Amino acid sequence: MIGREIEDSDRSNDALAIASGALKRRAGITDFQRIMVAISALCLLAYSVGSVAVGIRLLLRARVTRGVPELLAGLTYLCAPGIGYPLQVVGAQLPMRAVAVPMNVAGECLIVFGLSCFLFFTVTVFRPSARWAKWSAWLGTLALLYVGIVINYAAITYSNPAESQAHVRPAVATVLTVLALAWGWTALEGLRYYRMMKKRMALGLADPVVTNRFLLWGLNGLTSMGWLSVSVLVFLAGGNLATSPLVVSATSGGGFANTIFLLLIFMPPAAYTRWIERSARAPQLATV
Amino acid sequence: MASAAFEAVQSELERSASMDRWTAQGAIRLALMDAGLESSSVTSAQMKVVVDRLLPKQLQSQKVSDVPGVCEKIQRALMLLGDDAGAESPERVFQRMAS
Repeated sequence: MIGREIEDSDRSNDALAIASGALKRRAGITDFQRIMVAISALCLLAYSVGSVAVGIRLLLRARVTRGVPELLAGLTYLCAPGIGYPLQVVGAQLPMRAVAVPMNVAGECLIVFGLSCFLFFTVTVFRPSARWAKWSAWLGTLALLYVGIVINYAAITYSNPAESQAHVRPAVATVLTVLALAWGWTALEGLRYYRMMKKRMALGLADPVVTNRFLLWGLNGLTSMGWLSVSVLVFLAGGNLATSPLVVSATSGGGFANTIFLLLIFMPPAAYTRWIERSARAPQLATV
Repeated sequence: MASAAFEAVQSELERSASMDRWTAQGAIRLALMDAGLESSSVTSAQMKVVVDRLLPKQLQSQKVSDVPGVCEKIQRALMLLGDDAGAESPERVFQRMAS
């Protein structure tokens, strides 16, 4: 009897130890998630603030130069990553539908508008006379409009997230396809032009700082392709892109890298510009 | 659509080197490709460098006689053209956006 009690007591102690270990492990995961959420939030904040700064600067440039590319790029960065994406991420975390739904709808509208401007920026700058490029931009815009309507309809109609997610899956697949094509196109055009600019530099026909901007533009496209591929994998695995910590982390981290590229392209610090100029002069001096 | 500088060089090649339109265009396009330039946006200032540094090689491969003389005539034609600063290109856009 006493032996059984001791045995039971040992068992209950074992169970307590296991439960305690599980709790500790669970607490560990929670801490990790909390750190990831904090890092993601900081990256998202940097991405949004950087995009707003670049967007405003480009819009101010557009007022002076009357250039359409400046206007399109400015609207892109201000509307999509600057205001639209943060509205959606914050809206997805809010429990109050009365606040969350208008935030989601406004965010989606801004993202659709910003991304459409981005497609036309690529056409205007890199392929102004190519008919296929104009058609591609229009098709992309139509696809984004479809996505915006479906996602906003789901946000307004369904209060159950699972039901809403099931409804928007075709639209999410569409936006992922459009984004993959848009960023792939950006990377190709940027790196193609960088190669051309390097040839010009060898003849003294190009500025090294402007040449470097094309490299950064291409890398900006490649980075976006990187974080987008995480979204594609999570989507194919049946995950929710708005709430998946992996997607939010990858998007925020990739967005942070994009912010650095954008700042170096459109608002380069004097030290960086000097470094690029010095690096370009070094091989020339070596051959003298 | 080709730029004014491209068309000026093409016309001069047809006239001075007795090249037909397609051969002249091909020679210029190959030289522009080596320079990383595009026929639609190349300016006369850029074309002067191409004619000086890269076009002679293309003309020699086309067995054009008196390559230096032909290039000299092209340079004169480009000088008459002036600089077409209004042409938009990705280079100008990226230069302008951060200035």
